[in-house]
Amino acid sequence: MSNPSLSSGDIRISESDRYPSLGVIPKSGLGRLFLGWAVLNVILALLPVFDVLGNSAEPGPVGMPLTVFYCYAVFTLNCLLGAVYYLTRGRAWVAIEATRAGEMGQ
Amino acid sequence: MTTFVTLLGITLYLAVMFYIAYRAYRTNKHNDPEDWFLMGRSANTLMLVGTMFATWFSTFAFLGGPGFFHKIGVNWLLFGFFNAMGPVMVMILGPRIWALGKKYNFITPGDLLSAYYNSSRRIRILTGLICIAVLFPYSAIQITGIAIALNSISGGLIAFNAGVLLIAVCVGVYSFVGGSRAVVWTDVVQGFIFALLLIGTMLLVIRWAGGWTEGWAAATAARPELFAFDGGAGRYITLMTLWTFGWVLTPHLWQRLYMADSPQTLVKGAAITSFLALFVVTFTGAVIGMMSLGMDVNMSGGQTSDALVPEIYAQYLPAMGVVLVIAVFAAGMSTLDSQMISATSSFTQDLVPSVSSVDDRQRMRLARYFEIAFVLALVAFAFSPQGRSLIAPLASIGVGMALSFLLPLLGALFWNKASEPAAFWGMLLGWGVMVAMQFGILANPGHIGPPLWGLLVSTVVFFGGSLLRDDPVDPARRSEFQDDMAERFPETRGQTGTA
Repeated sequence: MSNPSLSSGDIRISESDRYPSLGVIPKSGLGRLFLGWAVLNVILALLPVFDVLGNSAEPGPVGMPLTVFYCYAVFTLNCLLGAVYYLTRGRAWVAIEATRAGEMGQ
Repeated sequence: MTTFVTLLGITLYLAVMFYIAYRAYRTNKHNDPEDWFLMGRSANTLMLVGTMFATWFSTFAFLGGPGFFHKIGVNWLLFGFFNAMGPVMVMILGPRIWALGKKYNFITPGDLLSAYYNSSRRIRILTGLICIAVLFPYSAIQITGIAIALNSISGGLIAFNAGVLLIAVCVGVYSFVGGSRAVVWTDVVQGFIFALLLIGTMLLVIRWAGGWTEGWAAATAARPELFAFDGGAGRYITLMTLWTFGWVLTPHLWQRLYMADSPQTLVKGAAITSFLALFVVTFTGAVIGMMSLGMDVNMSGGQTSDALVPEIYAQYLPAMGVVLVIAVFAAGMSTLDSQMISATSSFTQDLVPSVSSVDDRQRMRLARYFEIAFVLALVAFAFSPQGRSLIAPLASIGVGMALSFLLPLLGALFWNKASEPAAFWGMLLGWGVMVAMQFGILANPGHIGPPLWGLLVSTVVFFGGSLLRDDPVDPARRSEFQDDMAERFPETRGQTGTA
């Protein structure tokens, strides 16, 4: 069962302008960059669906049909977004948690 | 001879699985829900990647995925988008869910949501009910899907009813004995086997199609209309949205976030899974399904697209039939067992404590009873024609129902204005609209599917209700869930410092 302590806590960051807008749009430049990248990937992924770009059965690069090549190139951007997020934010979070664990262990 | 080898293969596979379940049983801390449902939050990177991979990729990845590419061509490419983006969502939402889960011993999605929203009993009950509503039809369709595939691949050797019973008994026994530890350990083995099998099948199809360039040329010449989008944007966007967020919100995947043994395991595991999901599962499926359009594969009129891979092997390499039977069995079981454990946890953690006071020992005893009842209900559903007619529409929005958790979760993790009534009514109305549209009780206005309409209703009610009625949750609770977390996740806020 959950057991939140409900302690009043040491409220150090409480102004609403430090929360993501509507819980979705981050306030930091880096956070907005990641969100923008994700939105861009969605838009790029939908371009062939609306027949704007990359929608053709003709052979494209590396011998694949253009639509298949284009879509997988865009989907790979999702993986790269994840990799960059891991390298910038994920590893930083791991370091913060390690420091916290070290402090609590002392 | 083939019959003997098939039965021997299944017997050997089950012997290995039961041995793993026995080892897990010896390791488990009995009467400890955290150990039983989350393997004591001790999954390392290999285990986490293996279990996310095997849990998510059921028989569908091996049979349905390539079959869909074969049937609707590039219109199924959204399969690649959400499989690459889903794990990225895990990386963004997962660390907070993991940190809160570890701090407060959360086991289910309902634990987290109800704890944030002022220990709301109604949110806990609703979340628990939605979790079971998501998992039951999803599990039932796994059982029927595997039984149909086994019957088809084995050439009628394993009858449908026998297949249903065999799967139900096997999953029931090893989940009952081994808990989540057995599930995760077997997932690692099964995930590795799926990956090898998918890659091997793709390489064979390329060879049988005459080579990479020649294979694509033959496929596009045979069915050019399947290599350009046909204008079904509404369906494409609905499914893309649904599954991108559904990746992390389905109860059995959500619980995998609690299981990680460290922050490093969680974020590294998600980053690896993103690449594996895109290239090992969806890209292989796309190549198998679409390149085979140019091959001489005879699909009879009565066959569904799921029969593509078995049919390719039947025509080009019949000796693989035995391996396919075992692979289908293993793929289905690895998803089904996770869903069963997850449904059980929602019952014992969210529903039972809401109506009666029980200790951990009583709760674990109830968990075993629930597992048996769940398996029996699945079998009854699978055997009943009426049940099966309900399963299909429910399962198709199974992940859609999990989207009901999205806004309340964002509120709990990121938004200080979210209120309990808005979260509850947003979930309930979003879920209700989705189900009502799916069953034709409510007319679909068009353009997009019921899950996305449900999400829109949920969004309007959640944000509208929270902003109109300024009644955010208890400040101390908000501080523990959000302000304290902001110290650890600085990317969401604009400035650092103290108030």
